[in-house]
Amino acid sequence: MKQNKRKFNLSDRPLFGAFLLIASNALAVAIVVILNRFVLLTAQISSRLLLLGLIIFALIVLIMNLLFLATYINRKRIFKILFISCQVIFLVIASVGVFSYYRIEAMINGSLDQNLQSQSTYVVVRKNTTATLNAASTVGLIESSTAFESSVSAALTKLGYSAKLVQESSYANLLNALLDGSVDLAILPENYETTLTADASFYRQIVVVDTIVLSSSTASTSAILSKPFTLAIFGTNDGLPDSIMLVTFNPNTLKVTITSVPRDSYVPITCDNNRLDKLNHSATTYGLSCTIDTIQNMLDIKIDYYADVNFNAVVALVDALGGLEVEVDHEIIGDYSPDKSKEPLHTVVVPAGKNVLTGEQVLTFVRERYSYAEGDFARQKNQQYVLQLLVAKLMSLSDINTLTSVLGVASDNVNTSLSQADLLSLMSFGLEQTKKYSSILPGISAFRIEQSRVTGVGDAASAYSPAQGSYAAVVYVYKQAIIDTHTFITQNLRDVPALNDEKTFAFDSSAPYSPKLYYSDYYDDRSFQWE
Amino acid sequence: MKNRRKSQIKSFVVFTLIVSLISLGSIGYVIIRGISNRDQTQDIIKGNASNDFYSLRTNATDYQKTVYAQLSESLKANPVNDSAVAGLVAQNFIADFYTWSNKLTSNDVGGLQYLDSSIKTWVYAQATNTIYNNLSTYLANNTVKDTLTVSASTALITAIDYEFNGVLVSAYSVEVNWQYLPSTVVNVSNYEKSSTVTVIRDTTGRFSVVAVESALAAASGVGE
Repeated sequence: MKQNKRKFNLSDRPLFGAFLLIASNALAVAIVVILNRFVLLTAQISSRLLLLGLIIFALIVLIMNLLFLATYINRKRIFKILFISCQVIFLVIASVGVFSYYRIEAMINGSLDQNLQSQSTYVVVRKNTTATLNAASTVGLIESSTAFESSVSAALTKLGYSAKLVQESSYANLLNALLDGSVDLAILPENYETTLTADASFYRQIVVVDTIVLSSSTASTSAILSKPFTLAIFGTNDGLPDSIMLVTFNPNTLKVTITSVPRDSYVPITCDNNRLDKLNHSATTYGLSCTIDTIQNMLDIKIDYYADVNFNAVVALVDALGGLEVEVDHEIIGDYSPDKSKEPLHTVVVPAGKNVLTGEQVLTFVRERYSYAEGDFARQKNQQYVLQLLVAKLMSLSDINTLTSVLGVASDNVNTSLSQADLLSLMSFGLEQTKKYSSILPGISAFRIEQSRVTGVGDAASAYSPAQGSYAAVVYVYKQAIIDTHTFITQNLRDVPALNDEKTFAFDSSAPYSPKLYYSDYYDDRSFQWE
Repeated sequence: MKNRRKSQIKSFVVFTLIVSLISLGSIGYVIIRGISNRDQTQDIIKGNASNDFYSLRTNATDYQKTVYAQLSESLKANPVNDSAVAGLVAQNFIADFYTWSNKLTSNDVGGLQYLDSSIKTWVYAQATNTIYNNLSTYLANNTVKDTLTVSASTALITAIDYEFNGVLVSAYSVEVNWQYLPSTVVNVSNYEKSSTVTVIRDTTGRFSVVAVESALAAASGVGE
């Protein structure tokens, strides 16, 4: 007698169905938790769409759950097919969604300085000899703050060096001390060959034996939109801040100020006992935290956050955005290589007029100064202009693929003390305000952007740079420029602007308004703050 | 056997119910949070009433509603009386610009929709940097409701030529005189009460404000 053997089918088992149901509902909850985190941001993009999406999502989950009941109570094949198909499709789509979210989050985290610290890398070098080090060996380092000395000492101990520290007043003296044997080891900036001015034969006599990384806290931990804040943006090239901009943002008035600070400003370097030097030398010698301290001291303002942007980031960011429409008043010819050690420089032409430029062209434009009569000041103006264009384009992003590309670029090339929550708050706030005023103002015009710069006089090779160990080209900043910049910045940091006496209002289309300028290239009092 | 099946069905239902409650509860929470967090300012500024060209903010004052209704009526007329429309555009602009009592943020500059699109951005910047600067303080002190409220206005309209973007166009010069409701927060007598507003009609038929000339020579506010 032939026995009817029932074929084993996993989908017939209620336990299997229950497992699928729990998995799909768990993923649904995960998606909702993610959305909850971004609810403010997504609501700004389209609150109606979000609401509709969530209702549809809830219905899908409900239908899937009811299908489970229908499948295992009625035991009809059609329900089983429907239930399994829905579950598989949902699990695949939801998994891809959750995976994409974690990918984006990882990208955002990649560019964040989670510990709110800036890091500086130094190398430990010795003379190119075979002599062995011992307990009596001496390590030379540049004269600086006690904190710097103790950080170096702790880092050396960690590496197993128990050497005595000897301070030198300049890097030139430190290199000489190393070569004449006064010190056995020396601590130099990681990129010493490009930032110090000794000749190549000098460097051939030394070898790098170790690397140390020093961290220092630089940023505040307050909620970013709770009060006006300052953000220092550094455009870094070969480890050297090539452009320095101070941005303030007042969330109450939506006013943004951008102030360019000449990288060559001859100022007291706070971590070098306030010895005068070029501002950007503070970064190469003591790290970005020293530059931040020095700017705070220079302008008597507090910097809450910083963003260190690699020059290649500009190229990659603009390309990720599909180009940037920039108006250039004359043709500019420059050169570029993403990595000079691997690829020779190639010529980049920036055409005159209003054109959609590539990343390389935009970088060439913001770096150009020689073809402008105003030199570095024209360059600062162009950098502020491009920064505004970039922010406007970023705020208009609605395509997730472009956003992912932008975040990818940021994670590789931007180091910032802004937390992920800060960035999301800022993006959400930006979209919210843009949307709020969209019926009466175009684009991001609700954000009033005012520009300024610290002015002074550039002088070639006239001032001694302790970090460089020789005379360097510097900018002597005007006394009045420091006062004006301080006023310009601090007035935007007030929660509520000071009351004024304006009772009337008039305008004419033939005379567009320009905000009051807080800088001048020609002050009556032409005395310098430091010289 | 039947009881076992019944119990199995019961457990399926209870299981599905629990799982559904957790999932749908989470989704519901996010929906409620999203709705409650939504900023209503945009809806108020954008307004819920509009004619072909302009809208009326949701929290408009009685006077703003009156002049807006008059403007809507004028726009519906066939043929449209350009001069009357220009006068009402100027009055609507003044009624919104100089009424602060229904403003929600210091950037909520009144009357911007009546401006020509090419000048909106800088007029907004000028207003927020100058006359609207003090609005932040009144908003922070919760006294904004008792500040400026335009309660009536008159318009004297004259046809003129106006040079706009380098081209001479037909325009209307509207001398608007207005009054405020009494205020315990600001001295309304010190504020502007008369201006000459220039209105042009663009190629789409839209009337826009392109210039405002102040009648008050200098600010004279004391004791605020």
